[in-house]
Amino acid sequence: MKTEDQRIHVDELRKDCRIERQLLWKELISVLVLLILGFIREVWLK
Amino acid sequence: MNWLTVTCTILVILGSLPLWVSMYQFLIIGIHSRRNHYARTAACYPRVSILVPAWNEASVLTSTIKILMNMSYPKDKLRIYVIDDASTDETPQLMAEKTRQFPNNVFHLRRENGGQGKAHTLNHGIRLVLEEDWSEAFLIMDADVLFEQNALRKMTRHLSDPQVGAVTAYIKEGSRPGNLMTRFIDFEYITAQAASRRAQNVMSFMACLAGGAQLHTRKNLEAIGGAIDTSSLAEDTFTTFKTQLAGHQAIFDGNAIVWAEEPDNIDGLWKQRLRWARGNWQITKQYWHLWFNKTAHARLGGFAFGMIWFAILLMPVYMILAATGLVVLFFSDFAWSWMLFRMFWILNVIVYVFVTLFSLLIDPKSARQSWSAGVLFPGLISLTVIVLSYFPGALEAVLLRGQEYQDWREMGIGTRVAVLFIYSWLALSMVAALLAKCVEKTPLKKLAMPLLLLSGYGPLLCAITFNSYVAELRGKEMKWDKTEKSGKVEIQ
Repeated sequence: MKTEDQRIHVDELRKDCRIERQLLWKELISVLVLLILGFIREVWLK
Repeated sequence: MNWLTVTCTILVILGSLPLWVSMYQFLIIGIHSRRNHYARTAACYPRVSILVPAWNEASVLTSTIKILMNMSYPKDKLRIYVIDDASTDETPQLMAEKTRQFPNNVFHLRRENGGQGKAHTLNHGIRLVLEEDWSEAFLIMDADVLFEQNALRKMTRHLSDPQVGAVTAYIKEGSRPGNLMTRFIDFEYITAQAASRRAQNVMSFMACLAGGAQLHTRKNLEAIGGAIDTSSLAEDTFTTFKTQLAGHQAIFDGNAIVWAEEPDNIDGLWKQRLRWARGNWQITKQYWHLWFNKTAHARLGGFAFGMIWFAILLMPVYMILAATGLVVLFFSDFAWSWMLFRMFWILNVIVYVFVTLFSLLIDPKSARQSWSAGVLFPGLISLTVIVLSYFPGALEAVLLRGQEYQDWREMGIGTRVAVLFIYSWLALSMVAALLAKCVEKTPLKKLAMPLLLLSGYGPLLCAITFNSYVAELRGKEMKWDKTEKSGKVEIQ
């Protein structure tokens, strides 16, 4: 495989893996928002 | 608790199954950050034959071919075959021009006797292209689908793993200017593709390789018989099942992005999705031995896949079951029905907040266009119940006027009607969505979108699925209703 192809592949792979890693954080943010909303409901609104 | 209460409680719990399934799928998406196929990819440029079935697609073919030719993929490893299903528009003239312009890359395969549908058209092309040894991989796509420059390269990189038989891309709605319907579809595709298919990657199965962008290795295409299934309306799902049953892996790459034009009205969506839903029934019947049977196939026969498949296929049934359970309990044991109703909608609040927020975060670019559609996805009435369920005592204040009832006979007539309406809403929302479809073709068509906003896009999809039950039970003729394309799709 040509070096140029290899470089493009590695660059794209790095970028895409970063996007995939961010998914975990995005999921944690969503769970956190859910927990905060639950906390507000159960503690402040009740 | 008597048998009636127990039965109705079970119905309501069953009715909540799609919510649990949805939550489960979204919860495991995070695992995709570690458990994905990227580690097994490499720079890989096989000789790819792109198969474009086309019937009267002249309005979109020029831009499709131009974009395919501009992809960052070696031109000597790319052939585009437009399989013309006896088009009666300017397709032949256009293709004559394109084949002159790109003599080594663009080919026109014309069927003089067409009209048999996409699968037959594709098979005509596959048969001819397979006769030559040139192709190492086949990209099956729709004529209106526009590939981002690096999309094909991002798909072929997975083929460096010999286990992989097929790869699909993330199809995004690209009509501009869009309308409410296209924004609903845009959001739906985040949940159904970018989210759900990543979850399926994690679970090592794939329910469906998108028909508009599926890449197959030659080995895989030959292993599944060298042809696309023509007996059903969901040839892409059949291909997906056959790929996995042949022992090959099917992969979704959420970073390989392609753009497509989707229906911009209820009628167009109804025809398209009815075809898909009927196809899913046909698959369910064809692979009856597979469901919840791990000995038949470790992944497709697994519990998780069965639950996901039937949560979608039977969604209207679940909604009707929950509504029925609540309405019967209203008369037999009101206090218990109210408690169940509140619990059901609290679960709805949790799933709605989590799924909507996470979906918008998964694809922030699409979210900028379609966040309002995501918020309004369940419809205004369900959204009101969701909001009221969040605030303690709000549902009681609005529906029961702050009173506590043990029996329905204690209520005034207005309260009874209001509570019964909300209890039945899960089922009624599908009727309202059907009404929106019906008025769209009448002089009252301006009411269609407000009705859709009230009923919700989710219930519209459920109503279509319900229609597919009726069509399949009646054995209605399988008709390939082509989605009208205007060529207004753009790569964003």
